[in-house]
Amino acid sequence: AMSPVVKVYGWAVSPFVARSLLCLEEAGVEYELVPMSREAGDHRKPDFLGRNPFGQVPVLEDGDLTLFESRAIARHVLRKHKPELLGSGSPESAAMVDVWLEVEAHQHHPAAAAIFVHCIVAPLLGGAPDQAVVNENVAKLRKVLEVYEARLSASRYLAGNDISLADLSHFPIMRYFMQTEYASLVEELPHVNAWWEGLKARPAARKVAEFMPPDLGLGKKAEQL
Amino acid sequence: SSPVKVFGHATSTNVARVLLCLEEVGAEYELVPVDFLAGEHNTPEHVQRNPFGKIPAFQDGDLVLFESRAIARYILRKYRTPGSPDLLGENGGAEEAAMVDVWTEVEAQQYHPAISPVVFECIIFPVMRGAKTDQKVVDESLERLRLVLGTYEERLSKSRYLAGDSFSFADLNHFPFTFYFMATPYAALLDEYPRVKAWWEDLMARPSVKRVCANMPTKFCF
Repeated sequence: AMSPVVKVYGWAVSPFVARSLLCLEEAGVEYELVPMSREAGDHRKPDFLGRNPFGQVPVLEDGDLTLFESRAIARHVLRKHKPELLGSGSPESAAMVDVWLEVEAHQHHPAAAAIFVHCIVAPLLGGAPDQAVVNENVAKLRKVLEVYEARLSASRYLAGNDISLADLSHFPIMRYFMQTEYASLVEELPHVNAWWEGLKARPAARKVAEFMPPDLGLGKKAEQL
Repeated sequence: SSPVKVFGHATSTNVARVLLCLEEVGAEYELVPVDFLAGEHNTPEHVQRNPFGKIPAFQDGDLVLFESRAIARYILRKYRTPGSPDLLGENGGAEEAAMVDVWTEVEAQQYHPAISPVVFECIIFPVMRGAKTDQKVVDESLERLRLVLGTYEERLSKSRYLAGDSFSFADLNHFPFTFYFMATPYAALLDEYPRVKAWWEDLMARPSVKRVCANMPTKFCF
């Protein structure tokens, strides 16, 4: 019997959906992306809320398993198909991956995402960035990236010698962040910049980036506003 | 082997998260104080352990870790004994671990952003900075929290614990901020969600939780 194809529900421009797709691509797992419309409010409709009661994309269906929260989806896909990307060899190597996964979630993402939302999303929706918020987050991200520069000067990848989910998890939001005028924050740090260049050159990253145009597919709409 | 070291103080929410895991697995540990108010977290010595200058930091022999959820996972894997519960669900099928991860992320991404501002405004900022409570922030957060608790109430009507039939890391992660929330004037909010309230009381009854609570204040004067 054919094994059921993994399904991902969501819009691929979302950095959270993209995180899930990136893991599936890295692990070489066949999947079906079930398109949803943010505009039509598909994520608020009853049948989607039955999958994720928090009404957010992505959702991943793997046989009988229905998962949400992109970082949990990422762990599941890799645990099942490519556990070395979670540092599965030992509690110590797994711990290093977990450390930098938490850093991504709690130190990197909030600042990078705020800049993305204000500098890319807001203008596309006809709004203006709150420059005070942008400045605050640029200052935060600068400090965070200084730590990354020191880390990547001492370690080939964030968790150690081998690439892991800790590195990959940064790709989606950075893909957008690097389109803003603040890309220089990364470019001016040689090790962070080299690490970023390496990430974005990965075939899986290039594949996923195809679904992540810098204008989030809203460009034509913005022109019409 | 020597006890592991946790750098921080027992009243810190993120330190409490780590101590809770140590208590759950029954591992010996030493709590090494870091005087936050005196700026000890910014000293070169501490920054070597946690480059973001936060607490906790953790040391087990040569291994130095930071980020409380990462430390917690390490402890639960490394120090788990055959008799103790599989709190990460990693020794079951793929499904158990996945559900633990989902609800662990829910705590971090849905629950925490709703509940923590109430704790910060009502307790942490007044205690640490002598700041006044921003009632607007509190009110907005409580509205958000109501929605989250409604979803939790629904979940707990179908599942004994958040990730499934067994207590897990996902449930445990709710302890630190909920503990302090229950010391704010808004504790009665949980009474509106009876299954959530019962789940919380079950968690508070765990021996490990009681031991950690013993070092966390419930009354604040400011």
